Formats: sequence, C-alpha cells, structure tokens
Amino acid sequence: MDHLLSIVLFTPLLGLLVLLFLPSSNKNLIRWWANLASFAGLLVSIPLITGFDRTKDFQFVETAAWIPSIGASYHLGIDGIGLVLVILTTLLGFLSILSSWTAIEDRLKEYYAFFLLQQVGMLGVFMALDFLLFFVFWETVLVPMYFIIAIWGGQRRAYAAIKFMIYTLIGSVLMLLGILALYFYHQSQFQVLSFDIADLMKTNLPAGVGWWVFWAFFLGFAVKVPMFPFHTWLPDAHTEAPTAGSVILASVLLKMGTYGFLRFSLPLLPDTSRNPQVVNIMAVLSIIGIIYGALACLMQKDWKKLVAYSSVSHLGYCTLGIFSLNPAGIAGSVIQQINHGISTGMLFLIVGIVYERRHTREIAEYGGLFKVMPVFSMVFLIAALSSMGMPPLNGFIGEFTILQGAYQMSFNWALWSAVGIALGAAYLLWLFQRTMLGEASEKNGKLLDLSPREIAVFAPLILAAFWIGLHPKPMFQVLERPVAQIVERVRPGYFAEHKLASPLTTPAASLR
Amino acid sequence: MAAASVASALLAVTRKNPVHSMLWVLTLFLHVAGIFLLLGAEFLAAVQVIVYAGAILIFYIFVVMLLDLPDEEARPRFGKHWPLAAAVGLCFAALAWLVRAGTGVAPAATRLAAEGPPRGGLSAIGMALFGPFALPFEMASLLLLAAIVGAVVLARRRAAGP
Amino acid sequence: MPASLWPSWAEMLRFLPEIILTVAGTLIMMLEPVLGSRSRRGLGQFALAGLSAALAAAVVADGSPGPAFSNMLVVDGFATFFRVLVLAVGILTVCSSYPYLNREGASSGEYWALLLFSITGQCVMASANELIMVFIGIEISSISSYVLAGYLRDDKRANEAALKYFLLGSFATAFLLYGIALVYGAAKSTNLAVVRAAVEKGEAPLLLVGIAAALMFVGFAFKVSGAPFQMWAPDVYQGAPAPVSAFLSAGPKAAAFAVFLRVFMTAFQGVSDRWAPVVWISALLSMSIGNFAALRQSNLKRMLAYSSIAHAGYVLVAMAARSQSGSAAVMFYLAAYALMNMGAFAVVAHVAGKGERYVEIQDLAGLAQRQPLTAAALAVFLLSLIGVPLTGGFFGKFYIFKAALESRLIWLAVLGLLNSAVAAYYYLRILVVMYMEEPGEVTNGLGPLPLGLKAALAMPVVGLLVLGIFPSGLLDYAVKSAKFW
Repeated sequence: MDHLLSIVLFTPLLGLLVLLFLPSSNKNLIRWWANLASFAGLLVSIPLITGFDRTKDFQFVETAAWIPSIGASYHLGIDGIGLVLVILTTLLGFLSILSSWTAIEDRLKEYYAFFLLQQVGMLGVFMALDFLLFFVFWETVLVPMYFIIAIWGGQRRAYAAIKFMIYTLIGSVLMLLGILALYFYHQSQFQVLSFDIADLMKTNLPAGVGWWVFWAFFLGFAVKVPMFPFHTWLPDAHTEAPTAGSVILASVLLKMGTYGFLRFSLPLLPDTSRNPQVVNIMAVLSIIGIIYGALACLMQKDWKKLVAYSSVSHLGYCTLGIFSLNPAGIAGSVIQQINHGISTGMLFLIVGIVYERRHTREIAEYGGLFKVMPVFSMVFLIAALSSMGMPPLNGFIGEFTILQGAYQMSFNWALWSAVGIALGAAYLLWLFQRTMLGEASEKNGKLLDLSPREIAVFAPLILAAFWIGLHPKPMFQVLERPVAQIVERVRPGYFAEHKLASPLTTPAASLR
Repeated sequence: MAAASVASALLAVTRKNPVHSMLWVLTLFLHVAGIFLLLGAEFLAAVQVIVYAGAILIFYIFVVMLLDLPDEEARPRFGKHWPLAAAVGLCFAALAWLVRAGTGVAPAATRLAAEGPPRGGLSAIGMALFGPFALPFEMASLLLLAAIVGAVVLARRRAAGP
Repeated sequence: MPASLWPSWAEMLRFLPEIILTVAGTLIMMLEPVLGSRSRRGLGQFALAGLSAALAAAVVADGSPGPAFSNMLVVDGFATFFRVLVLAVGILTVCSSYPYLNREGASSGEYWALLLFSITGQCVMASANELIMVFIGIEISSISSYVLAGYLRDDKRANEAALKYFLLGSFATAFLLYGIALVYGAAKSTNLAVVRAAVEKGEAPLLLVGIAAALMFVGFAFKVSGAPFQMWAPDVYQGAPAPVSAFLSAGPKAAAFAVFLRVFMTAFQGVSDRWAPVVWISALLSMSIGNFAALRQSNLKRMLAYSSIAHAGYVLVAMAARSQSGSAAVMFYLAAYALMNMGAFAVVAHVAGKGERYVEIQDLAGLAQRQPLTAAALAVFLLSLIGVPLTGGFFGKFYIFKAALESRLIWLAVLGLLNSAVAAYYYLRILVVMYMEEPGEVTNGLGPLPLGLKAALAMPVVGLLVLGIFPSGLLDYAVKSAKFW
C-alpha cells in the first residue's frame, strides 16, 4: 500500500473526529470507542513490520506538496529506528488508553480526545522527513500533554503543566532558530528552498555556525529527553500527570528527544557532532544524568517520583550511547529507548494501580503487598528486573550494548555508567523490598489483585520484555542499517577503519 | 502688515482682559489674511477670515464670556512657564529667519516666489480640489459626517432603548 | 488641467467597497428614524449585508488592479489583502456586537453607521497611494473609533477610555500630519511613488526626509500601539466595550500597519537603513513591555491589551526585516492575529455579562465544564496567541522569525522567540483557570451563547485551523502582493 504511513498516522485522528460527535453522557460508549480507535491504530501499524525491508533506508515514503513556496512538504518515511519507535508508540498508545478505563471518571470525552490527538503528534514526529513538518508535530504533542496533566493531574497539576509547557517551548523555539539557520545556509548554497532532511544534509555549514546550530538543536532535544540540567520539569510533570499520561510521557514523549539527536543532530551536523569537545560535554552531561538520577531515586519517598527520576537516569544511557558515535552505542541506545518505554511504562502502570486502590503514593504507606496481591507483585518484579538490566530481560541487552559502545570510546564512561547500573539495582530492589515484602498493614490487607483488564495491559509489555531479552537479533537486524548510516555520516570510513563489514555495502543476502 | 500683526500678537498676550485679548487676536488674523492676499493666495486669505476670524474666534469669545470673568481677571497674567514659551517663540523666529536667508534647511522663500505665478489662486485651488484632489475632498466630507454623528452620539441623552 | 473630471468606471469599481460602505452607513442613519423599533433591530443585519457586499466588491475590484482617482488610490494585491481583512474584522465585529448591544440595551443605528464609517476609513488606508489619503483614511477610522470606544456613555471607564484615546490619538495624528507636511516640503509631492523617486535620487534634502520619517513613525507607532507609544492601549482596551476593543485591536491596527508598511517601504525605502534601527528598538520594546506587563494582569481585557502590544512588537520584527518576505509575514501575521484576538474578545464579551462586571481572569473559572465549546474555542485562540502549531499563530510567528533571520536580524529573532516563550505563561494561566478550577458563580450563571457570538467564535476557529494546517494559499498571496520594489 502506498499510503500506509498516512493511514497509521491518521487512524487516531479519525477516531478523534468520531469521538467528538459521541454524546458525552454515554461514558461506556466513549470508552469503547476510544479503545477501539487506538486498537485499530495498533492493528494498522502491523503491516509496517511485515512489509519492512531492512535492506533499504527509508520506506513507505510518501510525498505531497504542503507549503511549496517555502519548500516544506508532507514527506513521510521510516527507517529501522523510525519503525521500532512507531510500533512502540502505537502499542503504548493503545495500552495507556486501555489502562485508563477505571482511572478516569470525569470529562472522559476530552481525555480520550487529547490522547488520540497526542498519538497523531507522536507518530508524526517519528515519521516526518521534512524538518518543518517534524517541528509542527513536535509542538503539537505539547498541547494534549499539557491538558492531560493540567486537567486530570494531581494536587500541583497547574504548576507542573505550565512548567512542562514553558520548558519545552523555550527549548523548541531555539531549536526552530537552528532549523531556520540551517535552512538559509542550504538556500544560499543550493539556491533551493527546502526543509527536506535529505536536502539539508547536503548543506556545508561553516564550523562556527554548525556549532551554534548544534546547541540550538541541543536545547530543543535535551529539554525533551531530558538531559541534566534541563530535567527539572520531568519529576513534576510525571508525578502530577495521571497514570496513562505518565506512561505516554515516559515511554514515548521522551524518546522524541533522543530520536531528534539521532535523526537530526548527528546526520545534519556531523562535523560538530564528532567534535571531541562536544562529545565530551554530552558524555559528561549524560553520566551526570545517570548518576544524579539514580541517587535522587534513592532519596525519594514518593513512589511515582522515584520512577520519574529513574527515567532521568535511563535516558542518560540513551544519550551516552548516541554520543559514543559507534554502531554498538547507537544501536544500544535505540534498544534502550524501547526498553525504557516498556519497563518504565510498566512501572508507572504499577504505581497507577496501587494509587487507584489506595490514593497515596507514599512508599512508606505500603508494604507486604506480595501476600495480598501476588500476581501484581510478580509483574512488579519483572518490571523492576527489566528496568535494572537483569538478564534474560530486555534491559540487559540495551545497557550491555551501550556499555560496549561507551567502552570503545573511553574506559571512564563505561566505568561510571556501570556505577549507575549498580545504583539502579539498589533503588529498585530497595523499593521492591519496602513495598512488596514484609507484613501487610491493615490498610493494605484487602487490596484486590489485578483484574483481567489490567493483566491484559501488562501482558504485551511482559512478552515484549522477554522477547527482546531472549531473542534480540531481529531488533539488531532492523537497526543495523540506519545505525550504520548515522555512523558513516558522522565518522566517514568508520567501518573500513575498524575492518568491519559495513551493512551499507554488503549485499542484502549476507545479512539474513 | 507684518509689523502690525506682531504688534497685535504682543498686545493679545499682554492684555489683562481676556475679551480685549481676543479682539487683538482678531486684528492679528485680519492682518495675516492681508499678508496672504499680498502673496496672491486669495483662497487662504478668505479661509483665514471666514474660518479663523469668523468661526474659531467667535467660538473662543463665547467660551470666555461664559466663564466667570472677574475671577479670571484677578489671576496673574502669565503662568510661571512664560520664559519657556518665549524661548520657543524666539526659536521659531530664528528658524524662520534661517529659512528666509536660504541656508539650505528648507527651500528658501525667495526661490519659491521665483518659481512662477503664485499657486494659491482661487481658480488653481478650485481646479485642484475638483480635479486630482476630488477624492480626498469627498472623503473629508465623510470624515466630517462621522465626526458629527459621533458628536451627536456622545451628546445625546441616553435613548429609551429598544 | 485634468483630463476628465468624471472618473472612469474602472476607477469607480476600484473604489466600490468604500462606496458601498458609505452608502450603507448613511442609509442606516436615514432608515433608523423611519423604521419602527422592531425593525430597527434589523439594522445590524443591514450592516452585515453592507459589509458582505463590500467584501465581495473588494474581491471583484482585485480583478482590475490599478490606480484610481488621479493616483489617489491604488488597488493592488496588498490593498485587497488588507481591505478583505478589515472587512472580515468588521463582519466579526457586527456578529459579536449584535448580542452585546442587545444585552446592554444600547442598540442604535449610529453604532452601526460609525462602525461602517470606521471600516471605510480603514479601506481607504489600505489602498491609499497618497499621504493625503493616508491622513484622511486614518482620521475617518480614528474619529469613528473614538466614539465607538465611548459608545456606552453611562460607563465611566468607557468615557475615560474614549477621552484618552481621543487625546492621545489626536496627538499622534498631529505628528503624522507634521511629517506629511515636511515630506511635501522635501519632495514637493505627497504621492508615494513621487516621494520615493525624489528620496532615492537624492533630490529631497536628507535631513528633512529624516525628520519627516521620524515624525510619521511616531504617528504610526501610536496607531499600532508599538512601544514607546503604547501607553493608551491598556486603558482604552479595558474601558471600551468588549466588541469594540476587539475591533480596535484588529481593524484599525491592521490598517495602520498596512499604511505604515506601504509608506515606509515605498516613500522611505531610500532611507531604510536609517529607520530600520528605530523599528528594531521599537519591536524589542513592544514585545518586552507587552509581555512582561501582561504577566502581572488579573483583568482579562487589560491582559489582552498588553498582549496586543506584544504582538505589535512581533509584527515590527517582520517590518525591521525590510524585505518582501518580511512584508508578507506582516500580512500573514495580522490576518491570523485579527482572527485570534477577535475570537478571544468575543469570549470576553460573552462571559462579562451585563455591564461587563466579570472581566477578571478568575471569572473564567470552570468555563470548560459549563460551556465546553466556548472554552475550547478560547483555548484555540490562546494557543494560537502562544504560537502553537496547527493554529494560524504558529505560522504567523514562523514567517516573522524566518524573515528576521533571512535579513540577519539574529538577535532580534532570538529575543523575540524567548519573548514568545515568556508570553506562553500568561496565556496558559487562563487555560489553567478555565480548565482546572471548579465553576464559580460567574460561569454557573452564564446564559447560552447567542447566535451572533456563535458565529463570531466559529469563524475564527475555522480560519485559524485552516491557516495553521494549510497556510500555503494565504502566504503565497501575501508574498505575491508584498512587492514594493
């Protein structure tokens, strides 16, 4: 099919439009419809997996005129990185909507409408091959998330929502300046107006300009990731958002930032990206993020905040992997992004489930849940192990590959990130011990275990966690080519230099 | 004519009785009109007499007479800022002198005079108003209409309402 | 001796929108005493019909571009753009004024007549090709606006607003007129093309042209509420009736920008590197003063007034670019801005209640729960004012800052973008109140949305979304018609 990506992109929008005309009094109808629409969104994305050809670069490409006078077009397409993130988005989009069935009681219609709109924005970010189109989707995502936090959030939701919005807005307006600078340099060199990434890649930026553009992009992406020291919006936003909002925020939204580095910063500004100074700054910020996030987790009394800070730590690995600038680091980073989506998504869902039952997130309020809610505790254990990187679960694969990549760059990087892994195990196990083990207090004694619907939410995530942990090969294969593209772009001749077979030159047959 | 107008202007600002001041301003206007006439600007002279001397000054006199005169008379004739006003006036006079001397700040009056027959003639203005400037002329009437309607709206007592 | 005193039909056609508006306005006043009180209510509809007819005429007139009335007017793409814009603003104003006046019990023919006259003035401004026409257009527009601002005579604030507006406005006009006189002295003509030629050939004394440009800049800056001549705006917008505030912030402002742009890009094109720094400073000041003052407001109308100063600043950024794409960005932005601001003020007019008692931001508490559609519309307007994608405001800002970068105004662009991020805060605060707080007595007692206001909300929402998703059409038109050289 020629318009597969458009179909995937606009299925949630179609669902949204129909949703707007449903009577808001009929809550069950709205719930059913929203779940159906997001499930349809997941279903239509499956042909992307089956039809994906890993020997090609961008696939399912679509182009249509959008604003021809300034050279912006509706240009969609995905490579391996885009594919895995799109699938992550459709899957988690569905699961987060499914998980909200009982959690959200009022203003359902608006709630689901915002989720579906957000879904469109996120998918658009991962599909767009036109920088302006990307930016439009990128900013579009902000609005529904703002409302989701602001309307259905916790006590300090107004503060958290505005902080989230202002932080990301400041980052992205500066990124926009960077985009425009690149655009004008491209225009002056080629006399063609274009926002197309493939065109912009040809631009030859003067070193000084490249430097500024890199930092402009950096601000946009780093706020989103979030990298230290731009992370302060994240604990607030995560803590105040409703469960499903946190899930989407952690699992998908943050990935937009790392994806931005991979798709734009590195390929468009290869000279600046391999500048040792820049690499060192990025690595140091990433490592600070890893260690600081982990230490902050150890201090938290609030369950949800703990998970939020663990995101800062985990995303630190992702950025570290990216700026290792070698195949292992980048591939590991992408896999770690998926892993984080799965494991942190689960952790937030877990917090959401106990919160729905007890209406508190104080860790000290819980304890002994293992006896009361055995299935739930098992799920939590799996999520925690996956998050801390225990084999045979998915986290191990990602973190190990990143460490491998980081080690190739510097022993110190690997050392410090290993410290982060140890700390990660510490805070997660300690959390598990404090909440699940011991004797159940009176208040916790009668909590219900997972309902079938809740199990249905967790099941695909657990499956995915085991699948990536035990059989990661398909993932690596899908990622091999786009990762090699990025590496070749940033460090031309990398594969020849290291006597490696480049996936770009070897014939397709040998890959299989 | 010029000397007489300066003299009447001085008299106008120094008289104690406002009505006297007004009458001196009237003579000032008439003298200025005379100057215009001498320069060949008949239309301007007529406007000067009709609008300034005829309408505006009468309006002023009405206002002055409606006010409480004795009280007004008792006050000192000049506010404390009169030196400033005098300075501004002198500056303006200096500027005018510069223009006359043709020092390049603006087209010299002499040059203007040399450029041909005076253009302020009645027929010239008439041709301009109904020729190229017909549209601004008409639009100005709309402007006046709007102003009148506005004045009526603001001055009228509140309507009974629908 | 002019060739013919009687204008040709083509010339009449080019002037048709203004003719229709004038006739409609005069007819309204003549009909009012004749009609019974019942059919008098139909005068609003009559005004609407007049505006629509003028809109159609403006579009038709675009088919035969060219000068009219001895070069007094010129119909080109630029003129058509702004004519259509101010006429659309007029239509929206009528829609939101109609229920408002009924509520206040102040409906009368003069209101509609003055509104039509004011728009006539703005149409003249849009197509003026002569400084004299510029002046007369501004005066027609302003005089009517002063009265509209003070239309509710029993309202103290409205009176204060009208008086302030009148005094400061006249002051500004005086500056403008002085500037025009100096231009005439320097170039011996008030025709823009002739002045331009004189300036570029160096025939006009540079000092005199410079002083004239500075004086006219003061006059125009007043009219567009650009800093440092913005002081009147908050009081006037706060005091005037809400639909009038909406009108003032969109119509006269857009028309003033139209002449501002036309005069400075044609007549003073030759000295543009001299006035550019002034516009640069004014842009920065307007953005910063507007945004930082708006942060502290609790009154909705006052906040929107400060925000409109800030938005004038963004437009000035595009003017400082002094390029075709800059001028196109001005046009696009003003169109988007007119829609979003008109919409926002229409919601204010609705919520304010009789006598405009409820104009605090806090009064919007819980609007989303009582009237979700009204709240959603306001949300769209506010998001557009922030400049979030999928709304016209985004592409407006995008084109402005693109033009600024193109002309290497890097610092202005950086400061402007940071400003727009700061601005997000006060718009978001409204969203917070509207969506997060429990309905208060104001929103609980809110009546249903009258038909006129429904239209005044629906049209801008649709317009903004269209501009936000498919900006191409309008932008291409703007670029095509922003040719001054």
